[in-house]
This record gives sequence, C-alpha cells and structure tokens, in this order.
Amino acid sequence: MTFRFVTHGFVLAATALLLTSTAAQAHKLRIKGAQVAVAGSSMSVTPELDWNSLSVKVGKNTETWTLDGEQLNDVTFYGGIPFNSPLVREKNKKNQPLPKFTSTTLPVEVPELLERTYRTYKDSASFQILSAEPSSFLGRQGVVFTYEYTDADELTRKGEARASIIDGKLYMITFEAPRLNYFGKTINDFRNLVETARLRQ
Amino acid sequence: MPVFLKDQIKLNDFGGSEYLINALSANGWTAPLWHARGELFRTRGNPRDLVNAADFYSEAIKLDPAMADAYRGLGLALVKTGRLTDGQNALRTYLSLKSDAPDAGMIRTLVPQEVINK
Repeated sequence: MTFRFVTHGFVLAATALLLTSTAAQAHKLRIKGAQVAVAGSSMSVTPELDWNSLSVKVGKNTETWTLDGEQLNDVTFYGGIPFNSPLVREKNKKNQPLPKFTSTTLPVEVPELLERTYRTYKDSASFQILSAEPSSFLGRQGVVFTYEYTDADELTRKGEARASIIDGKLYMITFEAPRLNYFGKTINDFRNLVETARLRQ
Repeated sequence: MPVFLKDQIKLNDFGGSEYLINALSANGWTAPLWHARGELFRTRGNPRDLVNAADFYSEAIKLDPAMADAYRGLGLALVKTGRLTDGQNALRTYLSLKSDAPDAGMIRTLVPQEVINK
C-alpha cells in the first residue's frame, strides 16, 4: 500500500516536472534578420540578434522578449492598446484596478500611466521617472522615457520605453533590466531593435 | 505633496485616496491637498474629472503661486478639455518654475514657442 502510494507520488511528481519543463521551454525563437509581427498587432520588428519570445503574456495586446531571461532583460511590446483598457491584464479588477489608457491620455502622460500600472501590478513601492523627451516612434511623434523601479524581488531595475499614440491606440516598447551591469550591457540591443519597429498601414 | 500621499494617489485607489485627502483636509485645505485632489481626478481622466481637476489645481495655485506641479496639472487638464490657450499659459509657467523637470522636453511640445517667449 505504502509502496503503491510512493510510486504513484513519484509518477505524479515526474509528470509535474515534465509539464513544468515543457511550459518553461514554450517560447519561440525570433531569428535575427527576419521581420516578425509582435503582440498580435500590426507592429513588427526585425531583430539584429536572436531573441526569445516568451509564451506568457502580461496582457491581451502584449508580447515579451528576452535575451537571457526576463529577470535579466525584458522587452515588452504593447501592440495597440485601445481606449479604456489597462496596459496589462488586471489580476483583481475589484480590489486592485489598473489605470486605463483613455481617449484623453496625452503622450506626456504615458510615463505616468506606466508608473501607476507598475505600482499596482508589480507592487512597486518605488518608481521614479528619470526623463521624458519627445521622440519619433513608428514614424509618429511620440515619447522616449527612462525610469527606475524596485518591485517584490527588491532588485532595482532601470527601464527605457518608446511610445506613440496612433489612430487612438497606444503602441509602446519597454526595456527593463537590473540597473547594475545588465541594463548597460543590453540597452543598445534594445535601441537597435526599436529602430526596426514598423507599423503596417 | 507629502510622499505618502503622492504614492497613495498612484495606486489607482480612487475611493481610498479621496477619503484620505478629505480626512486630511479636516483642519483646512492646503495647497498640497488641493494638488493631490487634482492629480487624483486628472489621472482618472473622465471628462468631468478633468474639469474638476482644473478647479482643484487652481485652488492649489491660489494658496501657493509657486507650486510648479500644480501648473503642470492645470495645464494638462485645460489642454485636455479644449481650453488650449489657458492650458499652454499654465504649462509655460510650469516650465519657468521648473525648467529642469524630467518631462520639460515633452511639455514643451505642447507649448508653442511664441507662448514660451511671452
């Protein structure tokens, strides 16, 4: 009886491990030089390096890429967030509602929108916008901004984002990495990637 | 604005934040409290909220005419409600009071050069 229980437990554990392992590997390789549509949208990029596209999405109109793991470098594409929608999926609409992108949101307010989203979604008690400057993105006037935040793992991350509001939808690409070492190491890979971003008309 | 109030407003808890602001105003409204209320309404962003936000920022400015961030909020709220000239003038004041603001570059895109040069 005991033996059967142990055997059964072992099979269950092994199955769980296999499933976990399968889930962990369920990303897609984005091959350098190949143009690819991102976040299920009309936005596309042509990476100069091989990137991993993670299977887990933080929101309906998003896609996340990484080079070395999302904890070390995280590129998230927001592919046309419509009016009255949050940037990411709400975990608890009633008790932790997220701010919405609205028809009155101005490009200068997009950094605030990300900050307010992270303070709830990532439980980030510390978030600071470091700069916000006008910049062209997807061929339109937009914003480039930098920020720092600390979330539950107590590691300070630095971020840089480019965003534009086009035909009533918010398009944005964010890059985040630990401030020490990792941000500086891969920020140029992100900037090169952003330069290839296009919007299919 | 006290840091804890600033952080509270960014949590997107409209009811809780409004309760806190009202509770803190029991001994009288101050410029930081009016500003906080303006931020709360502007960031929720319904059309009626923006009109209210503009009023709240104006109250803050009456009590503290050097409060740069109140001019920022007022300017954005007015621009968004179609009061472009008034909004641009408020943003110009924000830039003159806080020329090194992190978002100064973006705010300048909303203010024509002739308004900045006034």
